[in-house]
Amino acid sequence: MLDRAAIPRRPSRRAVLKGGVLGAGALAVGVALPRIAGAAGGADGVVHIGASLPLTGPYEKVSRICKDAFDFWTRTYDGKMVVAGRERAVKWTIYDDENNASRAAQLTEKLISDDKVDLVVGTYGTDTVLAQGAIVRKHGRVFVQAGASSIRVDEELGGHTAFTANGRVGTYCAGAMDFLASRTPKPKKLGLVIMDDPVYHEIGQGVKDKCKQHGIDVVTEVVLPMNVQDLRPTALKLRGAGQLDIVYNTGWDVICIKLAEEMSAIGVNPKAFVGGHLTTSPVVKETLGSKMQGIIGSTVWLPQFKYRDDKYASAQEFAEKFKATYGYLPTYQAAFSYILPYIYQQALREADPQDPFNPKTLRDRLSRLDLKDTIWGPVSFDERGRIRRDAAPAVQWTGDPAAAVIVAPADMAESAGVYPKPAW
Amino acid sequence: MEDVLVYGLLRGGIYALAAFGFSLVLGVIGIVNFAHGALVVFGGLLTQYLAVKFGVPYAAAMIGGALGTGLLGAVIQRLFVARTFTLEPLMVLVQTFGIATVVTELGTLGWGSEERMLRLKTGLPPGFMLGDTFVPSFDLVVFAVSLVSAAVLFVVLGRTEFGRAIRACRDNRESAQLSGINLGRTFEKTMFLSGTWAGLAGAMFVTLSPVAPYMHFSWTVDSFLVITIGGLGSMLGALVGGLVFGVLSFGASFYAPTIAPAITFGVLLVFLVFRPQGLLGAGPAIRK
Amino acid sequence: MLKVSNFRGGYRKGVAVVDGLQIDLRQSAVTSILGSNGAGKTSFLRGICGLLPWRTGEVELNGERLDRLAPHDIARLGVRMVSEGRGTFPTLTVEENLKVGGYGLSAPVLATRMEREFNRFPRLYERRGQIAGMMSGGEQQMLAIARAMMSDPRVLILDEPSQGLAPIIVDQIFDLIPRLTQEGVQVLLVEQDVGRGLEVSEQAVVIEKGRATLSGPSRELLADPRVRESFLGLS
Repeated sequence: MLDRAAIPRRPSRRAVLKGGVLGAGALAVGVALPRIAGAAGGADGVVHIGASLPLTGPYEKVSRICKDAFDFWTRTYDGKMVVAGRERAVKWTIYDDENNASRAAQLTEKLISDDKVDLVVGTYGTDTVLAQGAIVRKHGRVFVQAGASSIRVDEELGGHTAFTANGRVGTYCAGAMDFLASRTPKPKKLGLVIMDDPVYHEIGQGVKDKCKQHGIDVVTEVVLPMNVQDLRPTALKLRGAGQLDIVYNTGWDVICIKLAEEMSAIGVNPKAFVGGHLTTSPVVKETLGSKMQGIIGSTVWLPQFKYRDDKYASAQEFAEKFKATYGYLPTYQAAFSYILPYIYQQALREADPQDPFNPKTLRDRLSRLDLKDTIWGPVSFDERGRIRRDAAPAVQWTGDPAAAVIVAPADMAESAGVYPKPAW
Repeated sequence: MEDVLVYGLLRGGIYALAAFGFSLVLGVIGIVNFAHGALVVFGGLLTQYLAVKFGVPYAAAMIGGALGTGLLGAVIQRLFVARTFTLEPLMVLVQTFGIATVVTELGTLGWGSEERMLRLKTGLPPGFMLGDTFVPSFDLVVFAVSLVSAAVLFVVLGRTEFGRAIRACRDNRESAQLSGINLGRTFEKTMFLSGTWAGLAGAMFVTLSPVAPYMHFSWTVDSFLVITIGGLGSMLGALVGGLVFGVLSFGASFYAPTIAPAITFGVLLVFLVFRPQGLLGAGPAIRK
Repeated sequence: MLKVSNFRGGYRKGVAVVDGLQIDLRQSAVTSILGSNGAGKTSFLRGICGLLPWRTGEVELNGERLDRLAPHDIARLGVRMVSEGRGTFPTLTVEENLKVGGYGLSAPVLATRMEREFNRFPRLYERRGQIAGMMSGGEQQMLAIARAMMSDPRVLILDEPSQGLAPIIVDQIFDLIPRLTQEGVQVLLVEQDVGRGLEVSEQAVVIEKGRATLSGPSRELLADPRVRESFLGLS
């Protein structure tokens, strides 16, 4: 997945130590629990869901959110899931994979072979999900995941092993680009900033495809190393490209902040600035202050999206309950983590009571799944096991203090949007 | 070309500011302080905290942030480095790395891991044209403050008894002690000075770019690069090294962004091999 | 004034390089410590100045105990050592070196004392703006002595002052020693040139393997056959 935490940095000593302790603790729990579960009545009364998350290391914060969301789903349904028409108690086993692919593979093997979990949900991070998927595939099982959005999941695991609940990262730009292409005067020149990592190149490719579709020229393309510090040189490059209509940042929130700061410092004033898929992080608004005016962001989920499900009348209500429980507003990672067990629940409701978790029938049920209303929006999978999503919605910051309003797609838009944006 | 030079120099001022203390501690106490970057970040966050949380005016917050960081440096010296600096250099390296981790983790606990920035309203015009280059006025202010504070440091080190004591300890610890100089106190003061200037660099930088605890390591590495280029032993070396490094890293990021880190480290290697004393240094930057 | 009793010390705890030395400077303006290489002379001086990592026994200056104090406190109480190899501050100028010698003094006092030292060593005045590292060995020796004298010490310890110097400079240094004592400073001298060391001093101690094997008035030692044989190559 994508996150600013993806900036390579050394694991702190504390994190390493804690990783050891947590890992050991998780192992102990993992060894102890299946026996208790076995003694308590076996597979009949219990749905055992297994997962791993990068609970220590660079994705520590995000995986905490994912874990809270799993927990929130369990609370929402009183710890029970209806499988084959019968209510069963839900039991989770969650290990710490430390964002390490071989560890993730090892833990998945343990979940399937030793813990004998009924269902596996994916971890967070492209490499770890791919490693996990290889093990799931070896056992002929299937799993639902949202922690890896790269097209590599579709290529390596799609259609047979993995069902991916998050849209391709290549579609992240679609809402924003469609919105901008419909403005007058129509934007003609775009400057693209790409982080030098396959996932970000995939987002960048999405932008270039959209440009081609709408007849916009990509006049300059700056590829930056993942550990880039200073964005002034990039801003200078953009200025050298002449008057740009759009500057599109594929990078994470800090890159968005620095880029906006440096463009504003040396007087680069594009008519639109798309800050990327993490522009909604609170830190962006806090640091940029009044410079937020008119910035566009792509986002796969926000509480204001008009989504609902059987328990929550709106995504807003979901968000408020979540906040009341955990003390913070759910991010899109919370929403897509919540949806993972939810998808299993919907797929297994009417499973065959004789063999509810049969991989073959589960695969068929997931492929045929067609949910209109969920907290994550409509859910159905294509032939590569990918959720049908062709555009991430776009938001734009307007007003003072700036607030994000949805500007695309048209059926979700709360505002007509501003173009060109005010100068910095 | 001209703009690359101008922007590089402007950035270089802050790099030099951060590197002064690193160079001082390496020269006087004889340790490579891996916690130096943590001090820079701490100074930035403390300044931001004072300004945002207590509404302290920026100039005061900057001074508070710098002095607070100096104090932290002195405490680190007294509690940790003083006990080990005579040991195996590798041990001290590991220790300062540990201190960097602790400071960073404590900073994260107190301030969170988010990036923070201090937005200033200076009332200055946004900038002016220097030839074909647009120079943001605030960048120039920061650069001027860097130079002025460098001058202050030159005076402190060159003209005061305190500065003489520090230089005497750097030249010959034993003779300094035999002249009545308290080595332990002088090292603490050195660390205070080092921390103060590191904090000042952070305090300036937080107004230009977001700062977060996890960014400490790149400041340490940059400071190291600056003194490798400029040479250890003279603050002028650190200043020149900072400016050269500013232009170098800016140029690398502008002309070849994807391999910019490789270029700057390549230059480091070239210096270590062909000119280990740096541009202005008296002796090799790293000596046993 | 300076009295050392039962002094033991070394670089590691329990490993005595200096083993039970007594020395009493009360009766002598210049005292020499003699001994062959590795006898423990320099370690003894370092021990007095507080530079040995391990030390026991008593060091007293005018009745005040120094043996528990840190080197800089010992220096401030008036015991100054000019180390073997001089130990000037190579990147500091002559003036700055002198100012460090008078560390802690007020500016006017510094100025008077510096003037005094420049009178004593006109050569240093000529080179006052020069950095010490660029000076000759003899000039550095003068600088080291002048630096120590800046604080008006009660005890001046000179460790091998003639080492590596041209004979003419050595003469100058040895001419200087009696004149220093006239300013009220006691001198403790370690000198490899035993003959010279005895000539210039009133009392002398011979150290072997960290222990005092002979001591007494220098004139008597000069006549002692053991000294003549071992150190002066005479018989």
